[in-house]
Amino acid sequence: MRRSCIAVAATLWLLAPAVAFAQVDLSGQWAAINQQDNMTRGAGPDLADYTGLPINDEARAAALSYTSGVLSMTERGCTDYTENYLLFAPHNIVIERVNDPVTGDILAWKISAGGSDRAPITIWMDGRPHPSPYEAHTFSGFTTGQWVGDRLTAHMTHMKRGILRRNGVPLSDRATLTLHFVRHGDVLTVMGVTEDPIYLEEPLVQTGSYRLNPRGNAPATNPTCFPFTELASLDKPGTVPHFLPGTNPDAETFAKTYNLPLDAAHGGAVTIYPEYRNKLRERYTPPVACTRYCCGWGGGNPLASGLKCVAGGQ
Amino acid sequence: MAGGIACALADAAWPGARGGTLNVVTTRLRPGYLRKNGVPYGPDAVLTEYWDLIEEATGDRRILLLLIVEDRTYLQQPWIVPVHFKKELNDAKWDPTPCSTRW
Repeated sequence: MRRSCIAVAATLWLLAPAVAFAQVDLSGQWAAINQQDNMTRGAGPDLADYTGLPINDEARAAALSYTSGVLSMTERGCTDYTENYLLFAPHNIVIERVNDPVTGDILAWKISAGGSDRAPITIWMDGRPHPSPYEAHTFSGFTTGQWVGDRLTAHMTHMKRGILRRNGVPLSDRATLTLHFVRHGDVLTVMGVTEDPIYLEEPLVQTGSYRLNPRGNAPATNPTCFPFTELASLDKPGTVPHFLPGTNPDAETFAKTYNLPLDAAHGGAVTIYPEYRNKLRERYTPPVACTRYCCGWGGGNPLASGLKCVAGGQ
Repeated sequence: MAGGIACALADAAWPGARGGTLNVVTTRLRPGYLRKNGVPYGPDAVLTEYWDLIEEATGDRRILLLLIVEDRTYLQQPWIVPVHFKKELNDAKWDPTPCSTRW
């Protein structure tokens, strides 16, 4: 046992200089790993599933008024997600180093949109200040960065109003985003801290990892989006799909599906910490049978596994 | 053994390194579960951890932990999951209880 520890230590020691140098180069094609929060990143969250989000009452009310039908409106069909989507999107990314043409210094790092329905992110590394709070807010926001050891820490302001989760949990245009990029070998981990004085009770912390992919072909830019009429009825003036307070038919669907107390399903800072479990102890009754996602998304693939998928408690 | 054998290196001590990463490699784990719904790992699994301490401008201190599980018995490729922890102001919430098989 001791001998194997020494062998591992010696190997890592020999590799140390190369590893330390490589950690500061973020450029390249990065493949999203998506082994965490797979449902949220991939197929998407359940309607009115706000678990894990430290949202306040106002955010909850706005989220319950949301319907994804708004994305079928002609004027909203090409609307980008805000940059925090990087933290819960399933897409690969390209990171480019932008050098100053005169000095050769690193002027900025650019993170591609790569077809992910959000704008590219430019992280300025030249020490420029953030603009006035009254400057225009854009889907790219404004981001500056600096190295803290081998970690790149970036701070984004001037974001547009957007979402925190694809089921409509809102993000205000006063939100800021701090991104930490940590590279270990060929794995890049991004930790994002979203702060929003309008909709969050405390910062929302999310993480995602990527693997360096020398054969990646994620595009650096998004293809041009051309809006078109998906539903003619949504082109009538004054038509904006929404739910009035108390009328969202799916407000309790997620909670009932998993037999959760409604306040647990609807999020809030108190619900995201382990001690909340003690508060649920007296109220929670485990469901008698798995009724959803029991055999994987879409019911699994019985032919491949050779097993019959048991769903619906049958 | 259940806890396995872990070797740790703090890379701040490495030549040329400037970070604060604690790198832990654990072998000889007893077979167990990657997920509470029964997805297994086998006796030859290797768990690699990278512990990074991050201090926010607000003063909040967090741990960013990257977990990489390699298991030739049950995995086709490494299972890679980043998780994070927030440092508590004190130990007021620290309330360890005996192990119980009841929820």
